[in-house]
Amino acid sequence: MITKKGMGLEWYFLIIAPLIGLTVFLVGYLGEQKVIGNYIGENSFNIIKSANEAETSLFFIDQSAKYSLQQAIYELAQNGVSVSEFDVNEVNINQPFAINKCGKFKDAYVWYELKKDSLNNYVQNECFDKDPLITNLVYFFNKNLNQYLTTSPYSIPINNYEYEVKDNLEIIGKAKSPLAFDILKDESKPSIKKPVEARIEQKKSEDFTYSAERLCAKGVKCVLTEEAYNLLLEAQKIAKQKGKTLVVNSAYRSQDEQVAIWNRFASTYPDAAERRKRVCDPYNEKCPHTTGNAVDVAFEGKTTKTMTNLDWLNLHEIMYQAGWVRYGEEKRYDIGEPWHFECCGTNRYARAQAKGVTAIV
Amino acid sequence: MKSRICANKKGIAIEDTVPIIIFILAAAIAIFLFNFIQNTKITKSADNIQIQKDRIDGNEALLEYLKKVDENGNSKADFISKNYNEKNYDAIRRDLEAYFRLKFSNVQMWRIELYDSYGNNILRPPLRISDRSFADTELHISQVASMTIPINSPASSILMFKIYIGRLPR
Repeated sequence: MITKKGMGLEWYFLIIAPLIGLTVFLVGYLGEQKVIGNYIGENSFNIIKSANEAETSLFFIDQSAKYSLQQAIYELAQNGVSVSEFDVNEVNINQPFAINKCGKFKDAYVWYELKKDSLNNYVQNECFDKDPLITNLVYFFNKNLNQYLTTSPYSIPINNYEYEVKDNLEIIGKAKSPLAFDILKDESKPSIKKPVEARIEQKKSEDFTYSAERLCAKGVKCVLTEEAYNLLLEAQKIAKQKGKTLVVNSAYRSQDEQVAIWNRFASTYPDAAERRKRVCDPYNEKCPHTTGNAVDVAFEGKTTKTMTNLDWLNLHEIMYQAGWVRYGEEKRYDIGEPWHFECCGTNRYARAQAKGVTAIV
Repeated sequence: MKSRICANKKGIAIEDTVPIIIFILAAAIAIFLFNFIQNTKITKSADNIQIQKDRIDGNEALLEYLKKVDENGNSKADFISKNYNEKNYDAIRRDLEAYFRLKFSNVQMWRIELYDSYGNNILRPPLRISDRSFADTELHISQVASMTIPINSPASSILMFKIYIGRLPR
């Protein structure tokens, strides 16, 4: 430092400048002001907005639950308190009349029976089990609620409730996981509602509940991949030429929905191996319905019970001509599911193609 | 240090003033920019705060309306669902207007849009109330509430509310 020339003035500034810079950095970035990157009160607004959003979502759930219950009761009554044949075969829920003691009267199950005992007194017999009745009610309720939640613009998870049914038709749902709201979200970025559906949308799925074709049964969430949708349109065209109309009773299911079906099965079939014979195990295999390339179909106005062998044969022929593969064996309708068809690269479809058959287990 | 600067045999030459001038200029520009940014931010903040406040008030007003329960235990959301299913859109319009006329009495213009699952605004002509002394072009219009309610139908339909208000810019 001691030179004959002495230290130039610029050197003093060069020494002072970094010191000032460092001080500004420390005060500005390491101090308390660091978190105030916006105007005072903006975070408070964000918190209030998130609370509003949460309240709005909860209100949507409450209203949906109310309507879902009303519709569940209606649907259950329409089906004679049983789950429809498609759902039974898929889900295999015990029916209230499965161990029916009273039989049928004019093709309808008898609910109550009055019989005379040995003393000539009338004795009332209940002809159905209440437990499956509750199970079926919850099944319909959950299905309807999921449908509402799927159509909502809010990020509400489906199959997120454990239900407890109380007297007088009160269903209490306890959420398995909490709703999540991003308080400090960037509003300029569009939010993606649900990743699973977003992926399907990327494949250009179609919700043809609202399409002119009206391919889907009322109330069925009808989503398919574009390829499957086009094959279905083709099948409908062929069916129309034969004087028939196809109705889709089940199409795409999210992984959550498949897991819910698998779990619901657990009480009836605690043994996983036994359960796998009846329902696809979403933990160990790629379930066809989760690919958006599988459908459960019947002719309009018919159920699995009223579909005759000739109907199944016709349905198989129509679907096969359109490019679908059936779950079962060719010319046998007691194996597999004669209403279940797959296409477009599912595992079953690939196996059928390799074997050159139109139906495979 | 003082002695080194003052007792500098060489003295302060003109070239020594260059860093000082640069330093002063840089500081002046920094201070000017800081003030400019601060002033702009304050104006923007005032507008932002008004918009944010309107949004919160708008959402709360809408939620409060939809949650209102009549003597039979039915909420306004039920009332709207029922009237939507019966295609009685006028009843919905009248009820919305009566409620929000009071709620938004202090704004120059407000408008409610109600979209069904097909994306159609069922309130036609649009439900719009304004202070006639102001034209829309004079107002700063922003969306202050958006909310979706379910409709009691097997197709799980929904209805989406959108509320806009117009204020005079600052």
